[in-house]
Amino acid sequence: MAGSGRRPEHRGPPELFYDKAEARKYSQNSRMIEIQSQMSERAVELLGLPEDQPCFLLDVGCGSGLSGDYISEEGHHWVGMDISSAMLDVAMEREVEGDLILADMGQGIPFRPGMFDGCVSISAVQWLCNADKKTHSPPKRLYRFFSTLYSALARGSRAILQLYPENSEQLELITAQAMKAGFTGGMVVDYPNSTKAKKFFLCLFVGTAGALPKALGAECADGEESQQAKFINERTRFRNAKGKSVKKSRDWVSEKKERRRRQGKYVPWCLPLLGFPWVGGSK
Amino acid sequence: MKLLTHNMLTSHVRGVRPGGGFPLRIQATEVKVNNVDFNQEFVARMIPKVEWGALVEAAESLGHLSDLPHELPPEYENNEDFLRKVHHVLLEVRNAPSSTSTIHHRLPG
Repeated sequence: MAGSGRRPEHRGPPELFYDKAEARKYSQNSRMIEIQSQMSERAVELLGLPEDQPCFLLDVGCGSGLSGDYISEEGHHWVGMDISSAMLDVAMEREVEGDLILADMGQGIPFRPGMFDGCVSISAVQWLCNADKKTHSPPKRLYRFFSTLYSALARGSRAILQLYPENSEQLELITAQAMKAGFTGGMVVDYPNSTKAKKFFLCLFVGTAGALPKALGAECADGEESQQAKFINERTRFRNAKGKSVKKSRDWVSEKKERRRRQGKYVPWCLPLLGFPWVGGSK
Repeated sequence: MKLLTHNMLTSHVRGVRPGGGFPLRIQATEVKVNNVDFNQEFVARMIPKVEWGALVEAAESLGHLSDLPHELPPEYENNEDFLRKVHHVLLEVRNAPSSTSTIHHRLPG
């Protein structure tokens, strides 16, 4: 997955793509493990579970159980579903706490109604947009997944599904089927200004209408101020700067810092006047 | 698989049998007991969700009934002895730990 230009969804069905070699990456590649655990941490945060209460969660597309590890750390119990037996074998080897079930989410969530206090899914749901067999119809499979998930969740709980949509049509297809199944909620996009750090979380609510949680690093993206023209009573000393600040000036430094912060990148802390350490100590 | 998970699993295939595909039959090749930390609140919260009759039946078939009564006793929330027994049956007893459990559907699409 990492490093190659093609999307894994284009290579083949998930039960074949996640073979032994691919599954091994999820227990050995430290970069993959780090990204997976970060996303699960954020997903559990978005679930907004009541504090000091052990909950029973469902992990759809649990794979090698990396997200489950974080859930167990937080003191919750979980059940994981995945379509790839190779990935589940890795989870078994790692002796994860939760129960593992080999099942296709497109055929529905096989649980009695109202059993779970929440559902998380990391990088799995976009696979449902592919038709890998003649009998597969993506909208039908998505609807079956969402409608059975809706019934398996307790009223007032949430489902946080992190996914990699290929394009806006896919996103629309997924959200439309979720709404059709009765969910409310919407999309939370973390770090929308960064191509690499950008993450899509589909936040679905069962029963109650809650306010959508705020995305990280998106404070300035939809603020009120940006919609108004700014009037600055100041002489323009540098006409060819075209609205940008003069390089290495105080404004330029703070703008650059703000931009990097929005993209979720590391910004060294120092006084704005001092600038970046690598700019040179001229100022 | 833990009996808690077994108790929650059901088949989505319509018209499988009069009971509506619940509970699933257990074919245990091996029964294992793992230690899990006891959390009274969690067990007490799970009991209303569990189908008691199916749980007792499943525990009996695995040979780990652990003196569970056939009827759910009233005011179990503060009965720690009882909750510990339920905790053992729900979370510590596992069947067939060597392979994952598969749910088979014959539905197209």
